Amino acid sequence: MKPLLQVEKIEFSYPRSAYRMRIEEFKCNPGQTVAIVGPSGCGKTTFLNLIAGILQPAQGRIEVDGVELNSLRPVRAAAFRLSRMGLIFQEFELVEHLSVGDNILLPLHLGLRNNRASIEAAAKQLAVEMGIENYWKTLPASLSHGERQRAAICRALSTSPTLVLADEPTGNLDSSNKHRTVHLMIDSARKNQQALVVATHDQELLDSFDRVIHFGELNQSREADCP
Amino acid sequence: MSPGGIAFLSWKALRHRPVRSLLLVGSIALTLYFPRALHIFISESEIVLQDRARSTPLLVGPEGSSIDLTLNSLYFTPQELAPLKYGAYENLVSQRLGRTIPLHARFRAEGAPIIGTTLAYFELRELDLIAGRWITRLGDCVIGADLAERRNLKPGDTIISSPENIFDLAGVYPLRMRVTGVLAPNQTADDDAVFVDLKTTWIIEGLAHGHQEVSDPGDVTLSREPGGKVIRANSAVVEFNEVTNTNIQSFHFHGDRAAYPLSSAIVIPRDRKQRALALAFYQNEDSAQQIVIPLKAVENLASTLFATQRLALTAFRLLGLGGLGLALMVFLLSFRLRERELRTYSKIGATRHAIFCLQGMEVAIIVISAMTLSLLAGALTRSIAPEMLSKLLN
Repeated sequence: MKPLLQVEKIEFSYPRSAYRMRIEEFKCNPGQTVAIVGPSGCGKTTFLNLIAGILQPAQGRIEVDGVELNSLRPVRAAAFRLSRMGLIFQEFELVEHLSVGDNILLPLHLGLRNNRASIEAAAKQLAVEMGIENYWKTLPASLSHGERQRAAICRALSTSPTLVLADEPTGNLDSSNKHRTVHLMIDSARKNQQALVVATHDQELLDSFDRVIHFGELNQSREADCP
Repeated sequence: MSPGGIAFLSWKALRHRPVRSLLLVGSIALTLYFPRALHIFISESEIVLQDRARSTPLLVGPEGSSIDLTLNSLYFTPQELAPLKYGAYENLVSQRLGRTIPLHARFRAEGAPIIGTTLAYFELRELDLIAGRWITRLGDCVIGADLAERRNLKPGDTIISSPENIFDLAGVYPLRMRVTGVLAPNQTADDDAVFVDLKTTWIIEGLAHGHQEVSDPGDVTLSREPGGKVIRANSAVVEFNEVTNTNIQSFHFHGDRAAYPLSSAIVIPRDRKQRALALAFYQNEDSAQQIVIPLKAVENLASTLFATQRLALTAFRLLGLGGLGLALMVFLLSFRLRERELRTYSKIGATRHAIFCLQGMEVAIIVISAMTLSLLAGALTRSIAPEMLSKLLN
């Protein structure tokens, strides 16, 4: 099976920083769920941003669903990210002046040209599954942390992306919500043959994933300060 | 990002902070409105002033400020002018320099100017009656449409002249005048004036009066001199404060009529020669009167206004630049505060260009709203400016 996500020989460093990242190879198949573990600050978020095309590696190749992402022009890369990737952020990053419904449909407002009606229907179905359908017209400020995170997950999954990248998606959730949220993402990945890459430092959830990778082993740079 | 999506997200962001958005719209609208309003007022005032001045060929009045004389004669604005003696007016009439219309515009009633003149004035200004009839005798008046509406006056009602000074016991006494007609509105100072016969203003002035018969020897208010030939009237004699059909015969004038006061006289030469002769007649430096071409006086006033306008516009422009600079700073600070939100759009898949468009749309919505508001306010100002200016000039 051809991997959906393929990372080869990438190198990355921040300007004026001693931190270096060098990853020889990383692959993820459709329907496969991968957890990348490691302590805070070791570069997991940077790695996810590189895969998403938000950051550009100095060298190497990142291929998603047959498209070499780091060779695309920024406009194309952004359009690709919008249509083919679902991103879940550690701090939810919901837009405070948009209702929960509009936050979930944000990819549509940002110009996603897929079938609007089907995305809206999928988004509403996801909201029901996540138990936040009653907050569709509510502003995020009046939601609990768990509800906000579920709204962020809905936003990432509503466009039926081929690759889902989640950065500490359970960092702000209690134990029962953690399991519920992670299983929702994993079930969605398996059902829709999505590749799911989750960066986490939460040991409780690791058994649920197909693969667990320690970021310290993935990053082969000597300058990385990851323990 | 689609234009619809950009508009939607911009609108949502602006609506989320209504006070900030409205303050921005209001301050930009005011910045744009003030210079526009000033320009409208100045240009409208020139039109309003010139309209009236064009229909008044020449004015003769006492020496002094030609602008004060023009404003007093055309708009009845109260001015501290020396009177034009009636004798000087009779001298003007005798020169046969054209049609002459005397004006007396010193007194007020119910806040409106009382204009003593002749029926020729109504002909000159093409004034018609919408109710009642013209003045037929002393103490009658016709009033402007605005005054009639404001004070709910109609033919048959009365209006009392205001005393000039309540402490001046020997001065002007209020006269109750009978309203005989209401003039059709003509959107000028005439709409808010009380027109009386010239002689009526002299009654208000105290130069003519009517009182009870003082020849009745049996009257207790009179005293007979020793010897019985002379009857002396005292302060108990009743002086009339209204001209009626029964007391009109008792009204009489005292003193030298040539010394009676006028405010000015309108001169309407029949041709260019008469106009030149009229202008030449008052060229004499020793003359106690001046002749004024109202259009020129108004143009002088307008040029002063334009100079003031230029100064004010410069000040407004500087203030406007400051205001726009502040608005720009508010936008930039607001975008900085919302950096995280904009970064989220970028992470999800919005291009830098799309985010720039989003910010531009927010600025555009505010600026277009402000411009629309300013244009509406400008249009409103333009529509009410002539009326406001007429009121201000009065």
